[in-house]
Amino acid sequence: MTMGLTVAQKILGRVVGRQVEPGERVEVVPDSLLANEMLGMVIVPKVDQIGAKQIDREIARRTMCFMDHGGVGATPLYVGIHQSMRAFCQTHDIDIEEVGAGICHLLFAEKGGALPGGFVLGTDSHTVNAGAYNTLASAGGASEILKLMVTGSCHYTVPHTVRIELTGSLPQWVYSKDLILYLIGEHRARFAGGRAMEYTGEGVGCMSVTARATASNMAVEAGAVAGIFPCDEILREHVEARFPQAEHHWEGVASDPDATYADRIDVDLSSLEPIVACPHAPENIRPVREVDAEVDQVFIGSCTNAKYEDLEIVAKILNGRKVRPLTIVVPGTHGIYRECVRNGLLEVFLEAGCRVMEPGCHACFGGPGGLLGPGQRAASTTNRNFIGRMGGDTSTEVFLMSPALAAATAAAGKIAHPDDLPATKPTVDLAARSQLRIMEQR
Amino acid sequence: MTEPMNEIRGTVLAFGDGINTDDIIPSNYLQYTDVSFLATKAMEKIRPTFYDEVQALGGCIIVGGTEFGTGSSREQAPDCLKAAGVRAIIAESFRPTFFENSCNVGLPVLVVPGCSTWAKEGDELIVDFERAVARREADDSSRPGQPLPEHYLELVRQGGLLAALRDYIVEHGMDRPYPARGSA
Ligand code: SF4
Repeated sequence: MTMGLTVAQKILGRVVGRQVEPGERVEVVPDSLLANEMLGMVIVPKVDQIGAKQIDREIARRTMCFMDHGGVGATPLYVGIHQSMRAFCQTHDIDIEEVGAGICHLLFAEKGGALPGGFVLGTDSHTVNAGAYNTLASAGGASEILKLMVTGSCHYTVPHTVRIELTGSLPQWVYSKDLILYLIGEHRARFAGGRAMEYTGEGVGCMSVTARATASNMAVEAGAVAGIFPCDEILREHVEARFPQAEHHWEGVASDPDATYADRIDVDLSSLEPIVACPHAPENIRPVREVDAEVDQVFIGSCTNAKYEDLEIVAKILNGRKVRPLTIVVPGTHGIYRECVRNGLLEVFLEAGCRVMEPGCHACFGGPGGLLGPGQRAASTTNRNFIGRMGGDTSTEVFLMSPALAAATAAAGKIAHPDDLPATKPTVDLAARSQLRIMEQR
Repeated sequence: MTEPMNEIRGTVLAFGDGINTDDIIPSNYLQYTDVSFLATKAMEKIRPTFYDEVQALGGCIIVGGTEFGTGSSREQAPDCLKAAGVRAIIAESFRPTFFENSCNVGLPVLVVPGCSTWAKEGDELIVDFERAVARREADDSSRPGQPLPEHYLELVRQGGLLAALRDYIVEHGMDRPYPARGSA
């Protein structure tokens, strides 16, 4: 009798060429490799240290490199790291995006790096973001990726899978960010030790692909090595509209009905409420209305929540309102930025008094742009609120939340629910702007 | 070169649960590629005297709680701890990526259930990685650890992955530039 297989087992089975079992350490060649500044900071120096002048040609072909952490000419050291990355990519014929083009995980998806059934490795922990595309995507350490680049293969442990059965649909003002914060806060221990999350059930259907990516992105904060969504009609349409030429070798992969899971969690999406993760860990969750805190800064950005639909929610809430604390908006990619300009979102942000910065990571990880000082408190749509993560010391506090709550907080000056804001009249006709856009396209 | 893995000695510096990679090396320092500089900043946010303490002790063994090394996949974390003089880490559990990174950079790590309540700050420990056991000489007590897979032991004995890769590139002629385009 053969047991059914999980998505992770099926994808790795294809990669390895035989059936694999959870816990097994297998030699792999990923379908694509995501690299960011970790390449310039750690890998390139180590390549020089071992004296390698060549890297594996096939891996070079499958690699996409991004410069998102250092900012555009922000510090002399980052400028140097970017120079070394450009030189490395030129020598080894690797695809590289310029600084300011966007955050690696969002650009990687925009460029078709994540396709259904694919196996992706990356130098960054949030490589798991690509799980929304029915991809098994995980982070590797720099040396493991170095080994991959030099020898053409590396090792990966087949994960056990925790099944997350979603029913119902998300209520108003509740998003995939709230779902993942809930899972982190309530069930974190279940994902420990290298397990993968697999979202399934009819509830998946209420989330767009980019909304799903938020729930995949923070799988790593839940302790998981991957956060995989199924390949349904929504994903198929999304991929076909953007990558009609893509090599759809694998069509999308689903778990067998009798697949063996390490654990199972049932979530009724309609029972969720807007959540805030309090300092200093993503698992410190509280319902938004139980948090009473004034903030010095609001940061709306990051691979977790700087997608177009996130910024659309922010613009709807800020339209006709003024922000009170310093509010920073960072569109996730250059393409998203352009959409914001074309559809009037940028006008809303500027009228509201937001500072809009070029696409990139910025303060999300404590990089240049938007850092906090000692004693400052921030509301942020990012994924980590560890001590000093956005600059500052133990006296600095970061509250994680959805873009809707961040926008409401920006307008109120303290952590707030959008329904609790005083009523206002929009000043920019966003609907007309996107209407205009549709007519232009015709 | 094979180093003995059976007798790693050191004084314990104890840490709690969930020590994350931003605790180990704050991200604002990631732009510095000099590991010996990063070493001076290790644990800066949560234990500002860490580097000086390790120097004064002439090396140490870290005892951690659950999920040691959670957070980002940055290899600078084990790299800078090793450079600071940390000889080994034992913990209740590790984040898988941190565990792999540590092995790859040649910093021995071992899961020792119960270690965070058994071993105290300032204890002198001897950790035997080959047999997966931690021992305290003072009272001759010991705690068994989870045995390390053979490929990890081999990697740490060799001093990490770089040594192995150095051999590989020489063997495969990858220490020479690519042949000029068009030439055979
Ligand atoms: S946006 Fe933040 S979490 Fe995402 S890749 Fe950049 S630094 Fe990492």
